[in-house]
This record gives sequence, structure tokens and C-alpha cells, in this order.
Amino acid sequence: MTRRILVVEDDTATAGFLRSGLEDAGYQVEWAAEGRRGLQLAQRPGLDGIVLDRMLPALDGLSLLEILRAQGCDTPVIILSAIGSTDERVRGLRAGSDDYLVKPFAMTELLARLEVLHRRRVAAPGIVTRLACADLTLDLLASRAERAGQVLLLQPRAIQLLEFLMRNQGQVVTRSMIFQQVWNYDFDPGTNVIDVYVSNLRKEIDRPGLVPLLHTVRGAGYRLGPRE
Amino acid sequence: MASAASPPNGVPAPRRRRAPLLPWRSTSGRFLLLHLVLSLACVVPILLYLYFQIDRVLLADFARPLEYRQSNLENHYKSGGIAELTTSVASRAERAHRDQTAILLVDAQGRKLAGNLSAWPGDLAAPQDWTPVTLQRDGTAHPDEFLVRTALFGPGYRLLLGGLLDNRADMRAALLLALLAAFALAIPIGLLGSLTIVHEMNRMVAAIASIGQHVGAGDLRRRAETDGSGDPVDRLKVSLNAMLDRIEALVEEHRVLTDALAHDLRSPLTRIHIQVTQGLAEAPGRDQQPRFEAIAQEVARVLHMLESALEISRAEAGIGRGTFERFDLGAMLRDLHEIYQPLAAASGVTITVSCPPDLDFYGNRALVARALANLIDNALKYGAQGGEIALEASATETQAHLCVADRAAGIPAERRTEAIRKFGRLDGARSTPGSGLGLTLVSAVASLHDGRFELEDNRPGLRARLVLSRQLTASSQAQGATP
Repeated sequence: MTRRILVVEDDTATAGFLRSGLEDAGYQVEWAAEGRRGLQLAQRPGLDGIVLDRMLPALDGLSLLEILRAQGCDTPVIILSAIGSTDERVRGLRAGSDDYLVKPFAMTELLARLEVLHRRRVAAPGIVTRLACADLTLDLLASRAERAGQVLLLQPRAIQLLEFLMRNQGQVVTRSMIFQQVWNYDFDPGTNVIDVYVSNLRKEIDRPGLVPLLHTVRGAGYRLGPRE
Repeated sequence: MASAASPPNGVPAPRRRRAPLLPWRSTSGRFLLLHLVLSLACVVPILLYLYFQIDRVLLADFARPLEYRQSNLENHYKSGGIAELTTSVASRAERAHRDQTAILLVDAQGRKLAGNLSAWPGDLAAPQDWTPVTLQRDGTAHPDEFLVRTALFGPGYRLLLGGLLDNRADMRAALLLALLAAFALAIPIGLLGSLTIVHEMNRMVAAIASIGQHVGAGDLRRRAETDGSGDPVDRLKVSLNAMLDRIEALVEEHRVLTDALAHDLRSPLTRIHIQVTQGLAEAPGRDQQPRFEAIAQEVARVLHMLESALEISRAEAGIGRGTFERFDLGAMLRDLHEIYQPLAAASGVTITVSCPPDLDFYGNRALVARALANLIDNALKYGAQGGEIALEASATETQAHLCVADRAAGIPAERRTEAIRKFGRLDGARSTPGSGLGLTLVSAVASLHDGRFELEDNRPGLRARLVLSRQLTASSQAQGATP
């Protein structure tokens, strides 16, 4: 089923870029160029996600989001903002957004984040204690990973990384998503730390003779799962 | 390095502590003393006035019977001349031992005519109003103190009449004691009054000071409660509130301005970025690709500078205190070590971490991390040839010290201020990529946390020290600073 996305963005160039990028990825896109119209469209049922600009004419993005959340709407929202300050990011998340992306952004980044939010939303409720991907398993309670029946020797940070990849298996996760999720920091480290950790993890899980599970997606990030 | 008491590397923190204040040098102490002295100064004249008035009344009581007696004797003199006066004085003298009086009548030559004294006291004039004299009456063993009045009759006859001061002295002593007791009681009562007033005054001032503290800590919405009485304290609170309204409005204006600036500058840059991205996707001509990539890099660099500049001006304005949280500085250093170690290893540098366990801190986690990341980034850029970068944390009751130290050439003392200044890039750094805002951001993060940022000599190398206050507490932030 085609997923429906609402884009609330006053800048027509960015809106056009968003629309074509999202439509190429198979989304059905609705667009509002100002806050009040955005709120009207956001209140309609059946939306799978909202891409919301932070600064809008008529009704500011944060206020729109607060009204929406106060009405009990739980549609995943990604704030797009020209303001990259860490403080603004926290304010956005506090207002009820599920993610925060600073302009300019890569389309792959936005698509990957929308996908994560969608999965989180449709995931069966209840506490997951064990994750599996092909013959790779992760016991979250015991922090124990196994591949093809063999226990993997992983440091705590590598376990966290593996958990994030397994929870989003089959889809692309970007380096900045990994950095925010696994290390819980917002700044751009400008280092290849993610690559180093992923490469170490790969050495453990994709031992010679096994089917590779952890793939590098050029220009985007990584994906865990059997090759498509 | 686990020393918690002193900053690392033995560099003394600037002395800020003042000599302990002597109690009477404080405003409260001085006010208390002043009030006490003033209230005693009021009590003392009242007590003195009372003393003299009561003394006067007592004297009048004492003198009245003697004056009456004297007028009787004058009447005797008028009716019967000196003979009758002498008889009256003699009969009076016989009874004088009962009512404790002294009486004496002498002629012009000073010869005794009648009375219970042997001779006229040499230096006593006549007439003479009440005056204390020591006299020895006939038939008594020792002289006594008398209050004496003298009168002159006809051709040189002199009459002395005196009352024993015994009772009066006792009463005077009792009166004096009572007044001294009243004075002694006035001291604790005055002290209690002073303490109450000082306490009340301090409470009032503390309420105003607490508003200042909260606002200083970022809670810009805090206001003093006014009672509308229009008294000086109320007026002080009203003007304080007006000042705070102005500050809040300025900070909000600053936020709106920087937001708008960010938006207006970022939007065209975003459009350039989009065009470049699409250009790269649609026309990947081999010779054009490096050019597109160079444009993309420059755009990213300008965006990065813009973001840093905004982050700095916001931190300097205190925006960001609303998102303070509690976190472990040690854990943050270990995270940063983990993040930067791969990059360091690639340039042959070892990063070491030393910090005490559980270094609890309350502040803006994201900004502190960014400041430290900037310092590590700098150390990797300019201090790599030293081969070693040390991340250190230590803390006192009131401050946390975070240091990033390298072993390379360092920065000469006279150029360190320039390195921290906005867009201040030292000559050697101009050839390497960077915004010239990295250290300014660190400095702004320090001031956001009521701290300071210093560059020191690491002998050899550079030691960047970030000092942050540990006294910004969750309670002082309870209202949140974000308007």
C-alpha cells in the first residue's frame, strides 16, 4: 500500500526537492506551504508521516506540532529545520517530534529516517527480548549475540550497534542515525568512527564461509540483512 | 589522575576567595549594631530624665516638713523676738533626735544660742538653700550627712535646719538600681528588636537576591512579588521586574533574530545544495564532477560556520540553559575517546583518558560534548606531532575542570587570547580547513555554564582547560529558561 506523507514547507525549491524525492521513493505526497493549512491537512486521518519545516508563515512549526500532539495525533513527525543549534533540536523533540533533521539534508537521510519511524510505529507492541536476522540472533537480556550457533565476542558498544541494525534490518541506516542512536550525541564527529565500529562488527558476524549480512550502501550508510 | 581537590597539573585556579568578613563588617552586623546603639541612645535620656525628676520629687518630699518648721520658727521670731525663737529652737532641739534633724541658732558673733550642734560649720553661709553638709550632733558618736538650709534673722542671727540624709540616700540608691536594671533590660530587648528587624530585612533582600540568582541561571521568567504598597522596597521590586521584562524581551528578540538569520541564510544555501545534488545526479560528466563536489564542500563549510556562529551567540545570550540535564562527565570523556580514537590512531596519536568515577554534572550535554569535540579536533589538527592527547577531568565542590592537552608546539602566551577570539585564526592555522569559531564556541559554552575557558602551557604543548560551574542546580532551573 502506498504510504502518504504530508510535507509542510514554505520554501518552494525545498518543497519541490522533497516532493520529487519522496515520490521517487514511492510515497504519495501532500504539500502545505504554510502552518494553518498544514495543521488542517495533518488532522485528516490516514497519514503515515509528516515532514514539518520549523519556521513557517502563519503558524510556526513547533506550535503546529504542539497543537497536533495535544489533540492526541500520533503520526510520526520529522522536523526539518534551518536552525541546527543543539538547543533547538531538544526543543523540537520536546514539542513532540520523533526526529529532527537540519537543512540541508540528503534525501537518503530523510528516507532512512522516515523508514525507521514507520517501522517503529507498525512494530508489534510488547517488550522484545530477542532479535533475529537469518541465522544471527541477539538476546537483549543477556547481551549475547550468536551467528550460526556460535557466540560472538562483542563489546557493549558493538552490542548497541548490532541491536540498532537488527531492529532496522533490511533498511538503510545512515552514519548520523547510528551516531545519534548508539552514541547519543548530536554533533558531526567528522571522523570515521562509525566505519571503524561497523567494520569491526562485520568481522565478527560475517566470518569467512558465512553469507554476508552487513552491507555498505554506497553514499548512504549500512544495511543489515540477506542481500536483496 | 584522580585528584579531586586541586585542578590538574598543579596550575592554581585564580584566587577569588576573599578574606573572611568580620561579623560587624557585614551589612547585617553594622545594621544590627546601629539599631542597638540608637535604641539605647533613646532609652538613656529617658532614664536620666526619670532619675532627675524622681529625685526632685523625693527632695521636695524631704524638704517640705523642714521648710514648714522654718516658717514656724520665723513666726515665733516675729511674735516674740530672739528670746522666743531661742526657746523654740531649744525645745525643738530636745525632740530633734526623734525626727533625725539638726538645728542650731547662733548670734552675729557665731555664739550658740540653742540647738543640738556645738558650733556653726565654718564654711556655711546664711541664707543658703539646700546643701549637703557633714555634721556631728550633740550626743552622737559620729558625724552624719545632712541636707541643710540656713536663714538669717534680724541683726545677724543665723538659723541652721538640716534633715538626716539616711533615708534619702537609700531611696536614691534604690532608684538608681531600678533605672540601671531598666537599662540592662533595654539591651536584650533592643538586641531582640534589632535581630528581628535585621532578620526581616535580610529575608526581603534574600527574596530579591534569589530572583537575581534564578534569572542569572537562565530562568528569565522569574519575577519579584510586589504588594502594590508603593514603599521603597515595593518600588525596588517593581523596577527590578521592569528590568527583567526588558532582559527577557531582549533575549527573545535575540533568539528571533538569530532564528531569522539562520533561516534566511540557510534557505538559499539549502537551495544551492539541492541544485548541486541534482546537478551531480543528472549530469555526471566526468570533468564536471570535481567542480560540483568542490561547490558542495564549500556550501557545507559555510553552513558549518553559520551554525557555529549561531550556536555561539545563543550560548553567549544564555539560550540553552532551558535544556540542561544531569550527566556524567567521565562517561562523556570516555565516549569522546571512543569516537576520536580511530581518527587519532590513523595519524599515529594516542588518546588517554583520566577522570574520577561518577563525575556528576548538570549542564547542556550536547554543547559540552560539542565544545570538547572541538578541542579534541583542534588537538588532532595542530597537536598531532606530539603523538599524545590527554583528556582529563577533575572536580571540586563548585567546579568541574575538563582538559584537553597535547604535546606539540603549543601557542605562545601572548597569542592565546587571539586564538579564542571570534574568527581569530593564528597564521599557522589559515592553511588548514576550519571556521575560526571552534575555540570561541568553547568559550561561549564555558560562559553558559558560569565558567571560563583558558589556554595554558603544557610544557611542552597546549593545555585547553574548560572550567564549568557545578552550582547550576536542577532546582535553580526548575522553571526552564526557554521563553
